[in-house]
Amino acid sequence: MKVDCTIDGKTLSLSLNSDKPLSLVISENLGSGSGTNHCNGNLCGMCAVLIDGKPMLSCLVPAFELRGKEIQTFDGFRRTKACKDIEKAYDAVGAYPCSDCYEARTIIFHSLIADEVTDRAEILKELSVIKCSCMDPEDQVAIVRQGMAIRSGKRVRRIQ
Amino acid sequence: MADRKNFSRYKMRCGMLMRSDSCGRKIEEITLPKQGQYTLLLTAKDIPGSNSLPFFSDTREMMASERIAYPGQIICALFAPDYEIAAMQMRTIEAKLSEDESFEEPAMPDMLEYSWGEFTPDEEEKAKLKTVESAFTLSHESHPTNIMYTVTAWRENSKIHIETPCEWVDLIKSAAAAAIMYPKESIVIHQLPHRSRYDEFLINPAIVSAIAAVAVIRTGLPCEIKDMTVFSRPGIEVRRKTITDEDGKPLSETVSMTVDMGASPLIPEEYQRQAMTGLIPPYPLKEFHGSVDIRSSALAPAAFTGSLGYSEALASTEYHISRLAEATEMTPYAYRGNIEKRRFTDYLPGFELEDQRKTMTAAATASTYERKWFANNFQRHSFGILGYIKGIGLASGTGISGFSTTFARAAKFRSMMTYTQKHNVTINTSALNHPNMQKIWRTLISDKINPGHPETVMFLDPSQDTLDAGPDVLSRIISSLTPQLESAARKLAVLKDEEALPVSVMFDAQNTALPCEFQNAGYATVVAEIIINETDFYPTVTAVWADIILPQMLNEASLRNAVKRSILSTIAECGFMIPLDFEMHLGITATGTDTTVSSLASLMKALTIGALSNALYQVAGKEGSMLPTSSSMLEKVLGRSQI
Repeated sequence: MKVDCTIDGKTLSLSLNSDKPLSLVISENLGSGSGTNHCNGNLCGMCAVLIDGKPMLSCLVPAFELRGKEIQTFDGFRRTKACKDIEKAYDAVGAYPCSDCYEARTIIFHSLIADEVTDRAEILKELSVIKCSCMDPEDQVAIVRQGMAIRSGKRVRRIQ
Repeated sequence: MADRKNFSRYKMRCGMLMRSDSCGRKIEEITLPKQGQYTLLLTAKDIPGSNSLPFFSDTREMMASERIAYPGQIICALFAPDYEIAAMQMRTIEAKLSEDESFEEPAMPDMLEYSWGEFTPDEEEKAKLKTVESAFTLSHESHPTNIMYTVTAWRENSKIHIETPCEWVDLIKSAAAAAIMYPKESIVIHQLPHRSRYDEFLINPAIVSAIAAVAVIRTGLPCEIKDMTVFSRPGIEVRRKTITDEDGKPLSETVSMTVDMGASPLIPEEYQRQAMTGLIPPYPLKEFHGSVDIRSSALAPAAFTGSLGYSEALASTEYHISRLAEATEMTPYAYRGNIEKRRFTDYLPGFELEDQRKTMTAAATASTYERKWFANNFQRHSFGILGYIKGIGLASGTGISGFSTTFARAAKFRSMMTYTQKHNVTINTSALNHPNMQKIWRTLISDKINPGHPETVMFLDPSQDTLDAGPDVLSRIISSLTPQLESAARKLAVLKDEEALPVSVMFDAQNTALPCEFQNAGYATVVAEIIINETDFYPTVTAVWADIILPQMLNEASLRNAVKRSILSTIAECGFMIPLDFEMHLGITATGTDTTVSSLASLMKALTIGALSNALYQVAGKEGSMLPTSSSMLEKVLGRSQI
């Protein structure tokens, strides 16, 4: 089937099997280095992308659901200011995700910061979708709160 | 580094690997009935050169040639214009197999034995002696992880380029060169950034690269293969028997370790040396007999898993020390505090225990270990009343890094530092995949030669003349190369003023002049608290306390991250769950006493396994302390004890 969608700002018309998961579309059809994990839908949580601004696990999104959608992979997201804020938060806290889950975790951190989620339990619940055990829960909560502080600081400066 | 060629995906072949799901089968024939001009089926017979991966003195088959030796072995590779066609074509492959239960045992080394002293008590003494026995088991495990990696190969003029994540460039070159019968100089490697939690990018990418290189030769087009990384750990069984005096002081010890390496050996002689280093206990003994026996089986070949036997052996020693403590009715913390300094051995010098005791006190105090240990012991039989059962375990030890001195001398991995006529320092080494470490090295070297000018220190890009510094395993690139670079910089600082420029210093990538097989550096203690509830029997780690004392700390933030990752991934590897309210308390102190850099990854792995097995023993006793644990295993043990 033919699927028209936007991936990382590029409008694409792809010819795909209707049930092909987005994670494989990104790595096989686009040859993107983003998303090195493929758990065949076993919820490893490492293939998170932004679909219309919301984080989704790309291995659970079939090709037929991509029509008209705007998809942002980590390759596209890393060039944004939002990603730079999260990198600053990593530096400030002194904790970094491992290279396996860096992309997915950064995308989920972004959505938590954007939604202004401050509750510890809720932050950890959202992040528990990533099955990689490289980060301490306390560090993850600290990164989200630091990221929010960095963004709110920017907003304050803009208002002034 | 040569740039990656930007070729169209429409003019390349995408490859998929077919792996067997069983073993003990003879391959009669593998065919692809509808093989068109755009598809290519590769079997072992289609490899023009050697089908063997040379790994130090051993070899392992890249693709199954006559019989399938183990589950997960690559049988064939299929290349097609895209992955969807490759997947569809893969389903049409016809493989004729016949039963062949025979197992060709690969050559394994003799059992390594090490002993000292003799303890022959008289009859009166014998009556007072006590015997403490323990068995530590870590089962063989091999499974694909969720991490996919891509290997791309293409030809440019007379050279074959391979782009892959890898931990040892020279191994990829050797495997590809042998498979396509090209000289090693004609293979150009483009290293992709990666993180190898279990050293999964050491052996498999070399095999996949060789297959991709063969496909490039056969199709004349760039070829790409996507493959899953594989976690493969050898099976380990350690049996230990200690004779103690009436006060619980160990006098004589016998320990035997049996290692199941699967279908192919993994530098077994070095494995034996590393394991023996971990098996030698920290307490003094009148008599010691240790043995490490390597065996093979029809299971997936073992790989490095962040350790080459030391971590597992040290964990078993720590497990046994806690059993000795219990036999003397002391807490494991108090018992460890009374241990005296051990003598010098051929594997590890006899080190002072003061720093190790400091880490123990810090971790035990922060975790209130003694109180929790007594409380848990008291509540051990109240599982049915409380609805949960808790355990706490402690493990403490010293770290080693890199290969043994014997192995390093034989392997001869080298690097070279040159002071040029332009008053720059250039370093010729293959150890280039740690960009952050290179920044630290630049500063360390410039401090010795051109203080305040780290920009004058340059690492040469990979080329045909690059010197092989060896595989990036066992933290040897960071821990072993750093002191060697510092030593070479000190020599060069003198030579640059005495000799005509350019002047070079060739040095070993690892210290080969040590009196023992390993040099210990850094001490640590890990305390782990676990809980198992009556409803689901899931083993859960609620908190970990770790305290570390190091000779020097190069970068605190990255060290903290590395330690946390090592602890967390070991917890997951041992079958425990990490809850949302999990707590980790980490203390790191640098003494600044010497310039030794120690590897914390294998030490933290060892101590985490040791602490978890001790905590599990407190909960489930001898029967339930086998690792990796699971809810079903604990249900069998604890459920039965409740009845």
